[in-house]
Amino acid sequence: MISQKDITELISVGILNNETANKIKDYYSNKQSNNSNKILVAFGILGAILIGLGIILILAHNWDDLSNTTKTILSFIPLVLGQAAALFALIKKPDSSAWKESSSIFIFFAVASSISLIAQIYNISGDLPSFLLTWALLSLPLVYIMNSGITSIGYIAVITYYASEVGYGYENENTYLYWLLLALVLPFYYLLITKNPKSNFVSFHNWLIPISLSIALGTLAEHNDGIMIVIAYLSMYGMFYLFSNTKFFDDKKLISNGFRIIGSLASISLLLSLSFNWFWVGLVKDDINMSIFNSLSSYVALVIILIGITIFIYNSKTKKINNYDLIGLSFIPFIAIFFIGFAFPITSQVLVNIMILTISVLTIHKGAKQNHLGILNYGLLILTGLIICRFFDTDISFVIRGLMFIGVGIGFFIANYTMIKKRKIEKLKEINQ
Amino acid sequence: MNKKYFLITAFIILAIAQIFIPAKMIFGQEDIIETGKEFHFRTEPIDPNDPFRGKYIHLNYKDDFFYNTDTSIKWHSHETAYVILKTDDEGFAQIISTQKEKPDNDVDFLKVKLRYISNYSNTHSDIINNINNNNNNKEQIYINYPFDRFYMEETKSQDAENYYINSTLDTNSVCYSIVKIKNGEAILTDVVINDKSMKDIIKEQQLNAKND
Repeated sequence: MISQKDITELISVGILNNETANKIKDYYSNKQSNNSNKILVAFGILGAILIGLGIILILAHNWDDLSNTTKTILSFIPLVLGQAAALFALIKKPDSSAWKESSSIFIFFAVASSISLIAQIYNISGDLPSFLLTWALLSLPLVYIMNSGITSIGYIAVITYYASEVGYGYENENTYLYWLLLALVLPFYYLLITKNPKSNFVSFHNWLIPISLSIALGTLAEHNDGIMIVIAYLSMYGMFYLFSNTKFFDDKKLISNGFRIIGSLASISLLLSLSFNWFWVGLVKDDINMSIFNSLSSYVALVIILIGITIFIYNSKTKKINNYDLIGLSFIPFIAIFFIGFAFPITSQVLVNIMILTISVLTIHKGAKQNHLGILNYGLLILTGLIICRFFDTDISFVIRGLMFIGVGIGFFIANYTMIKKRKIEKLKEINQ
Repeated sequence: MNKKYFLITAFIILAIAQIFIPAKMIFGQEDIIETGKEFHFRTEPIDPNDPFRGKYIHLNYKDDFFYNTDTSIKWHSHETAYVILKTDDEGFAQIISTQKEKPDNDVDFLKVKLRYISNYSNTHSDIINNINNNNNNKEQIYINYPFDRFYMEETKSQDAENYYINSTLDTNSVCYSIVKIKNGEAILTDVVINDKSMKDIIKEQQLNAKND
């Protein structure tokens, strides 16, 4: 930030006139008030969460000396206080996100605490899924009414917990409700990325939604013919990557773009694990028949593939794409590779290896072309990952494995050295000009 | 302005719902306590805790299974079942039969979830009992009673657990829970060890400890 002293100096030497100097001052003071507003929201939320959790803990002490009636009334007090604060925010401070966010997140916890306390008072064993479901349903309207990003984050966390509780483990049941509940909050996410793209809540959602989906997708795999879930997962990570290339993410920093990081890293990790022969040998051994096409996971895979392709078409219509990464589209060749695997498992395994190799080479090429050290080294890391995986396959000779490692090691040095040297030369050229 | 009023109205409706749902739970429970029929279930408690709801004593029930006498009915793990209860000669609840459909209100019944189904007898004495009662080779169906948690004040649950462990070592002690049941729903109201309420026992013990 430019200081008052600098501005006075610039005016005195005649670089700035008074009008421009005032504009600069206004710009920075506005920026500062925006920042302090963000800090206020953050601390408001943090305070509300801490107080809310504190109240839950104090009430969880289960005061034996209080009668059931007193305990019941006490269990409602945090909720009513939170509601009063939220109502005040709606009527008197409709433009203050600090008020709205902190009162909403306080209600969010108060709802959970009052349900839990009643369960405690009456010794209701209550199953966790139905508790989470009630909590989520009573909190969802807050997201829209209070326009609360933090409540939306809490809500997504709760429904994800619900999905993993219901969908995995010994007593697993279907998780259709999770998908419905997630769909109900997506319009809010859309409003957030279109109307308020710079908000921190957008970044949090960009991480939380792909994490939630990654956890929940597995609940759709059935015991017998869940093999198609592999295609569903790879397509979903590809879809994340394609989605992260849409115009909504154009001016986002990489760290705010969870869709891209998760999409890319998870696609590569999944492909690397499929580059071993255990998966392909298992595919033939398990004697999987045509019924896999008539399974929930294959319908899910189909839907995800269609959404992924739609996003791809949307991207190619709205943006100019010169250098499209294979990571986002790796699910399309993989579908073919998957089915080849039923007849020729080894061919499929080799093809997956070639695919990873191609991705790494293209990424290295892209990094070199864009003069971007991060992308370049990411490509080299993918290559290293592939080689480490092959290190475990015992049927390759030690000499060849050793040579591969030395080769990539030298590659790292040369690639980074040439790029840094290239940059220095370009800089020198600029200075000389 | 219109949007503001709409939001305020929507919020008030939500606020009422947020209070109404827990309140409905309370009234439901109070009704069972007031008008439900009392049963005593033999127990064997242990003590864990719950991050949301605090400390509780986990109750294991002794008679938590039944024999499938009618082989034409196929039971599955985790399905909902209705057990019909009676009080036996010793004053404890006993399962007399089980069915898939909700019974009429003229019998005392409880809605439960099946835990698992076993075709094997666990212990030697089980096997002897089964042969004596002609229950051998019958499916043994285990159920989850919906009242397996008894919440205690956090400072008392450890003492309660210790007390219970000691009293189980004494084979003469009788431990049971008092449960009110109405229309298939149940509420646990107290745990009793040798005719004394668990809460009173722990209160007395803590008082004695202070005086010592």
